[in-house]
Order: sequence, then structure tokens, then C-alpha cells
Amino acid sequence: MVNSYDNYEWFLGKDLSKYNGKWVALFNKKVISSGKNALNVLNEFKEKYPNQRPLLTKIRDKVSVL
Amino acid sequence: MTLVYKFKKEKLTDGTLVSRPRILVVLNGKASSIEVPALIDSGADITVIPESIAMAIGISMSGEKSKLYAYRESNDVVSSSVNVTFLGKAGRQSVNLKIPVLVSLSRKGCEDEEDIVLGIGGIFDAFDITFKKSQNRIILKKTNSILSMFKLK
Repeated sequence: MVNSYDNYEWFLGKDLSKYNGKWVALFNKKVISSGKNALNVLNEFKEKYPNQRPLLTKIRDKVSVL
Repeated sequence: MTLVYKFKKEKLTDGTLVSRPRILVVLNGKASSIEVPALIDSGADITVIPESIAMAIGISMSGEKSKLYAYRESNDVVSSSVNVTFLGKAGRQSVNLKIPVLVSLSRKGCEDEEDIVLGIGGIFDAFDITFKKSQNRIILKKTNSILSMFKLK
């Protein structure tokens, strides 16, 4: 199993622009679930990997001022 | 202890490339935990978490309600707190903090929630933070500041 930091580094180097505007749950250097609603994305991940902890993030698609 | 993170190049829908400072943290709720490559923002007074995430991992929503103002927009929020673990490259490298957060309430009929943003409160007193964009490094050095009021240990 890929450790958390390696999964984070994979995320940093990966072009995920095809998921722009969506939430994604990542695990073991793979996108496991994605969608517009964060809770649904998390629930879908948990159905597949009930005992694991995903890397969850929104793929921002616009120039942002926070 | 020093933790090192990186910027992520992100391609926006209009083709623009931006680099955003993202650091690896674990949000620990009462129900579950998630890892987040969170944006760290020295312009944000406090950390903000969307309501759906707060509910999913079990963050209390019983705090004071208020407004969060960002540029020209505002949003309803609830005050809370969360235990955060800052993860380093080596497995043994981690720092636990309890930080104040605002939970951003969802707007009715709107699924378009924002990402998790780490702000100043509870974090910038606990770490000296250096952004080295040219070297693609974000360095968090743990301090011993007594201002780190939300520190767990």
C-alpha cells in the first residue's frame, strides 16, 4: 500500500484537470471516486475501501482569490 | 521539527496554469478521518471547511453562527474546532494541533462547495512558515510559541 506522503506527491505531479470543478478521492495513486458533491464522493470511496482513509480534495477550475 | 511540502501546478478550465501551495494534513473528526492536500493561505484569518466534509467526519456544528467575508462575497458559517495532523515525508514526522475552524454552510440547491483552506488561526503561531516558490518548497518549522493556544501537546 502506498503511504500518505507518496500518495500526496503523486497528486502533486498528476494532471487532474479532467476532474476540474469536481471533488476527487484518491488512494494508492488512483482516483477512486469523483463528483460534484464531496459527501457522495467520500461515501462512494468508503463503499469500496471501508477501512481506508482517502486523500480528498476539490480540483479547482477557476482563478481564485480566497 | 521541520515539514516540507510543495506547490501543485494546476491547469484551469481556460487553460491557465497556476501553482498553489498544498500541504498534507489529516482532518480527524469524531466519526472518521480524511487526508487533504490543503491550500495554505496567509490571507485567511482562519481555517474553513465545507459543511459536507464537517458532517462526514464528525465535526461539531453547534458553535456560534456568523458570516465569513471573502472579497465581495459572504457565506454563513459556524464556529468549531478540529484536530489536525500535519504529515511529513518520513512516517514518524507529524505534528498534531487542535485548531479553530469555520464550517461553511451549504447554500440551498447549490452543490458547488469550496475546498478546504488552512488559515492563520492556530497554525501560524505553531509553525514558522516559509514559501520558496522558486525552489518549489513550503517549509513548516515547528515553534514553541505559547501563542499556540490550541496545541494538544
